[in-house]
Amino acid sequence: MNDDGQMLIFGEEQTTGNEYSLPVEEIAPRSKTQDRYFFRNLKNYVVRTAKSFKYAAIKCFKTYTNFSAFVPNASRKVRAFGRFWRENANPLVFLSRLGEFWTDLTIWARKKHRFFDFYIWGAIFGLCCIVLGIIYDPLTMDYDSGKYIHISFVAKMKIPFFTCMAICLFGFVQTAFGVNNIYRKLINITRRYPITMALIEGIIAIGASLCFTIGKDDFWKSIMVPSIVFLILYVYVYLDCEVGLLSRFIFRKSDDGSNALAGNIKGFLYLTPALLPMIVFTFYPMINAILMGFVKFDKTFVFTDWSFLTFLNKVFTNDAFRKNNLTLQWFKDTLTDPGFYHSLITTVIIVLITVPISTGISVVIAVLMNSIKKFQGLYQTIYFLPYVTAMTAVTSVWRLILGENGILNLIINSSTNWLNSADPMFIIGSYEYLGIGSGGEYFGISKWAYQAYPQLIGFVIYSIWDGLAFKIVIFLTGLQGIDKQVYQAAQLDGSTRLRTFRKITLPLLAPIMLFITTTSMIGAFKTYTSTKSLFLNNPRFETIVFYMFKYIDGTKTAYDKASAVGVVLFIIIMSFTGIRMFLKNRKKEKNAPVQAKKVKGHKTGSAKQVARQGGGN
Amino acid sequence: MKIRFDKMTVAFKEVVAVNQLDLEIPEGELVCLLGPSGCGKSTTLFALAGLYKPTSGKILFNEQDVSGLPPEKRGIGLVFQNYALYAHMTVEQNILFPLENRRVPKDEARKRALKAAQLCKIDGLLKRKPSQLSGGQQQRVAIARALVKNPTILLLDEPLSNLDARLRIEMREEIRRIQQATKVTTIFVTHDQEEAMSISDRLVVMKDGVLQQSASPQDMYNHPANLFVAKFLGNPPINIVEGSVKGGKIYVADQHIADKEIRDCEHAYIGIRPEGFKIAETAEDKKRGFKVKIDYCEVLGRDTTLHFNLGGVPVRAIVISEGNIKSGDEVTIVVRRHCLHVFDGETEVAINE
Repeated sequence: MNDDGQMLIFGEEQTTGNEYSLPVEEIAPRSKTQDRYFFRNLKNYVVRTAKSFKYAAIKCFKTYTNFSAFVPNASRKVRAFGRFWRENANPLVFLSRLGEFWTDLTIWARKKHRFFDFYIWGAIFGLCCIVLGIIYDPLTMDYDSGKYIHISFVAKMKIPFFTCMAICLFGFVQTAFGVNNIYRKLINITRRYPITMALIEGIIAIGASLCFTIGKDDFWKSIMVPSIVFLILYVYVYLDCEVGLLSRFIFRKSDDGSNALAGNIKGFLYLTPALLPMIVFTFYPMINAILMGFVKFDKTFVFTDWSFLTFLNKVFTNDAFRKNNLTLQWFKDTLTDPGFYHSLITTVIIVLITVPISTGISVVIAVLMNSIKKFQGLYQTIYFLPYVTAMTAVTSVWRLILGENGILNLIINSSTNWLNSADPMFIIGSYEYLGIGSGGEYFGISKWAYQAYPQLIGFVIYSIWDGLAFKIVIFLTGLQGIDKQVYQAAQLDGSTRLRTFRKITLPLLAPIMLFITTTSMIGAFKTYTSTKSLFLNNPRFETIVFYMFKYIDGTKTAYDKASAVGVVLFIIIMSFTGIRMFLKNRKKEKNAPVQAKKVKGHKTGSAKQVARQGGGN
Repeated sequence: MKIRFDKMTVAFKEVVAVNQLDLEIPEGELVCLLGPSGCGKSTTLFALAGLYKPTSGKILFNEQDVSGLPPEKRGIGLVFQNYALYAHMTVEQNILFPLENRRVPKDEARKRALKAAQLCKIDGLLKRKPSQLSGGQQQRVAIARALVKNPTILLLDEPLSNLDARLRIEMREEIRRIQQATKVTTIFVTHDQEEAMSISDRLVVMKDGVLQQSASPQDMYNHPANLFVAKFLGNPPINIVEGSVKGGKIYVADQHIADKEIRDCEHAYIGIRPEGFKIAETAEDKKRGFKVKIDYCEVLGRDTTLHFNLGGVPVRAIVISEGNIKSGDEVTIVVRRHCLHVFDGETEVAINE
């Protein structure tokens, strides 16, 4: 600390005199490269952030306190401390000073570290807000009895939740309407007239506090917390107009630097005709269905009462509702029901058998069909016909094929009734097999064994056939997109047909393969209609959707339970799809290092070769 | 390898793409197949590669009939117009692919691939995918892939048509360099006569599936076999006027323009290259030449382009910028003898005797 530290510390000019305070205009807008850099070097980034916190803390410490260990002239420091205290005795002024300091700090930090990013800071503030909400007001006044009572976490979260929402909304609005420049000016004004601004902030804070504290006993506690909340909001706005925290993700500036929102609004307008029905008929019901899984319908809250807003209202206002109607019971029921596992295994069997076989067959058929020149259109029509034929018509034919005197039995010379046989074909798992022992329970399942009936096999055969039509057409499209000259080149390179298929056709079809396997996997998980029409009302196996429909079939109206099963199914499908994507990505990554290694080895080899040649010469 | 086409015809249903082609290509030459779009040059190339089967006639490599051989057994490297690289493989895998098919041992295959890559100057790009390369680099990869098989014949199907003007000049020199280095018989298809003339040892001009002429570029320019070849080569194009030949004297619209020791012809096409005109300066020239009225002239630094009428046809002449000729002047013009070509009015074949 230098001799005129006092001046630096407490003088009016302190903010402009310090090395960390820089004109706001100097901050360059963040580029896309910086964004990319940020995501790639998260670790580095975190370290930097931590460091800058440390520097900030030291700065803060040095600037706002006078610790004698740092200071040779103690008496001067004491005087200075007194002056500081006089100037900042009012906590609100102190707070606004802090806000002022914070702005300088962020600017300084951004200048110091080019890639300094405030996304994480924003997240920390969001967290602070929530934590604050938990700490703050653990007891709430019950106005009827005049006593403090404990209330649930959800109710406690009300204020921080809505505060966060308000902050987000505020950020959106201010970015949307391009008020960044106004805030820039505001910052400059604040920097020029800190005391005035502090007063204004103080008035705002007091006003806000009063709004929160009317009728409450604990005045000081109540006035401090909203002040801090508002300060955070204030800082958030600062940061948002500096770097754009959340709104930045939505209203990205376009590359040419023009007003991003103008372009976006146009885009959104074009999207609305498609987006509105999606929101109304897909997203809204989906959210409702998910929420319904956590609800128990009873006399106080019947299914017909349901609406999204009623639900939210009840959650936030009605204690009895929270206590009686919010539940995880359905999930617990589902996950401990042997019937659910039965249906899960059935579905997984269907998925794991039908999808690969059907895909494999359709690739082969598509490749063969692509190679014929005459009657290709006719063949395409023939193979696509099942897709446009009504499922009930198709399944009636399959009932003839799979029946006791059907063609299938004729071919394989058996007498199994593939449609309605009560003899299980095989059994997966058993009590003993799981090693649970007699009389024990496993996850509440007292007896666990999976019996597969001939019906399942019959259905798998049908299902494989059923999937072909669509897949062949898609694969054909993909094949026709491959340049014919590539095949000619392969032929000239002396590749056999099989090798061309393996090394060229299949890799080039990979994106379509991914699409087909993913969509048909999702479709197979949702198997319902085909089972229903193939086995009429007599299925001996249940898919998950079947299991779900049990609760809302005919007279039953257990929509809450069915929703919970639906959510579970959704999660299963998502995770399977996720696994599929993961496997694909891993395969890609697996290939990459091998190639790198190859090249590396090859390079060293060539270097040696060159050296040898050099030596020889 | 010496290549000979023996009355080869390739027909698709009713369209005859190549008609009775008789052509011999000596070993180690870079030959350009030249002609307008749809003249059958690519078909000839693909027939040579074995991708198309000749309807009749033979293709002979070193006097051995290969018409029935499948493409992979002909020892041919082909570079496609759009390169036809395997998009999912790296450059190295692309180059290695033909060797893997031949079960060449891995170490040797690597060595050969690297050698081919070095020859084509792409050894720094081996790890990349084709989509990460520029057009010129992709083309080099395609050439490297064709060369790595040690082909006896290298075929290039309009390899420069996808490149920009500057890269095109660079790449055609590159192709020439690679051909010189490998001494492989190379056949190069193009419709750009400038490109063809600049790099090839021999030009083969085709039209509507019929061979027009096969000769060295300069020879073909100086002695076109017929009217089509004369018109096709040269930029700006040759001037064609109708006229007649009587007793070694050439007349255009009853005006005697030059002498040439050839047979008489009632109706002939007289072709004069733009650079074949000269403004008469000596007394002898003035006596020999003929007078024209200049419609207008463009002075382009070193050269001056004169526009005038000859036998009712607009004619363009390029002369050295000397003196000051202005539009509307009347000057005496002499035709250089070796730039004057006479073609029969009926058959359009050149008359040389």
